Amino acid sequence: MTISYPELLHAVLDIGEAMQNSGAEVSRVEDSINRMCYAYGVRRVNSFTITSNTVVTLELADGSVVTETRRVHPGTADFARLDRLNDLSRYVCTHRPPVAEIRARYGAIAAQRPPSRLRTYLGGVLTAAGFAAFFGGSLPDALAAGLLALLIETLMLLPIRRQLNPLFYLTVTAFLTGLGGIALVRLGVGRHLDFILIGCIMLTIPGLAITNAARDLLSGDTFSGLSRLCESLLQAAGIACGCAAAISLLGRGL
Amino acid sequence: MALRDLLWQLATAFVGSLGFSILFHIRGGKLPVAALGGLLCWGFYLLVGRTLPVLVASLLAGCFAAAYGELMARLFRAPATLFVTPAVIPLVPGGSLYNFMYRVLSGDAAGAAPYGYETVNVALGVAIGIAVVTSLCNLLTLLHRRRTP
Repeated sequence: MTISYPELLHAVLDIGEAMQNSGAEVSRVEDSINRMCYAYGVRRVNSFTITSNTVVTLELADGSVVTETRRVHPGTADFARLDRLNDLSRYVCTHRPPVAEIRARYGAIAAQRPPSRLRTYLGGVLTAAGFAAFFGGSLPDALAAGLLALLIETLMLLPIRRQLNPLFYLTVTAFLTGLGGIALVRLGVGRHLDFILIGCIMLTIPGLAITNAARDLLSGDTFSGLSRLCESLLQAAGIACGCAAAISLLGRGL
Repeated sequence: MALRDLLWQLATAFVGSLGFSILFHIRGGKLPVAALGGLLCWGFYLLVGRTLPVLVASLLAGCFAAAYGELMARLFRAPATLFVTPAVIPLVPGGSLYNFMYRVLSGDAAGAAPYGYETVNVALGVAIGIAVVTSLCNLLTLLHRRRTP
């Protein structure tokens, strides 16, 4: 059986890109790409992945060279998809299926629908309410945070989000969250603005991203780590700006 | 900390982790296990954080989360990230990062410093803890593979 290596590389990069989009660590993506390519008897795999880009060059047994570059646009973490992609990558390594089969299997995973709106709202409400209470809020505060989470998730699901600057969008979201929080406190739903806001902010603040940045730095993925760190600090500043603007505009309520 | 506060914190950590796990699209039997990781990890952090500095306590909690994740990954045949990420969610320095930035923007340098210190210590500690356990697990897998060819 002869393999078309450019097609193989394309199929492997589809899997790698989707893994990264689903929330896999940079080192896992590189590792999976390397393993899949080596399984097909490639002499040497040169892969380099950073958060926004993947470059792979294969050196084949006959001395020829195949290369492909992908610009990766960050998606929202989807661990169900990551789980299936991981299984596919293992299957490719052990069974070395023909490229058409890899494509078909990848197509089945890519066609899977993203989490439903209901799931997103439920997850958002539980997260915001849970953390409002976790940081010291009372039950009414948790309820208010849960209500605000509906607003945040609605904003996050709006299609226009993709066309706007992400930092600007986060700042506006935080501003609206701040206004909503003050309004809820004035209406008597929840009493402690700080706890309500911190619960909601857990949905957008890059606390996990900053921890992953440190993980990237420790595993030697310096570029990915630094870019993630910069991004996280800017996003945190944007969110704080948005909330501060809302509070200085309306006062703290009561 | 009073028992009532402790139980309240553990319960809310569970709810928070559950919410995140749902957002991350973890499904079926893995969902409660992933959320339970958040509860256990926060409980462990509270236990070690009583006597140890933040960095060391976060490091140990990171180790705990990664060990829990690796164990569950083997039980459920899924990537460890699925369980490690929800486990560290209550620990992750989201609150302190926000408070730090808020005070920096308000020009309150003295108020910002402790939050910045906490953010750096927790993020580094958790990352080191996870890295240590993940590396150890990789090493064990390699040794195991070499012995049974």
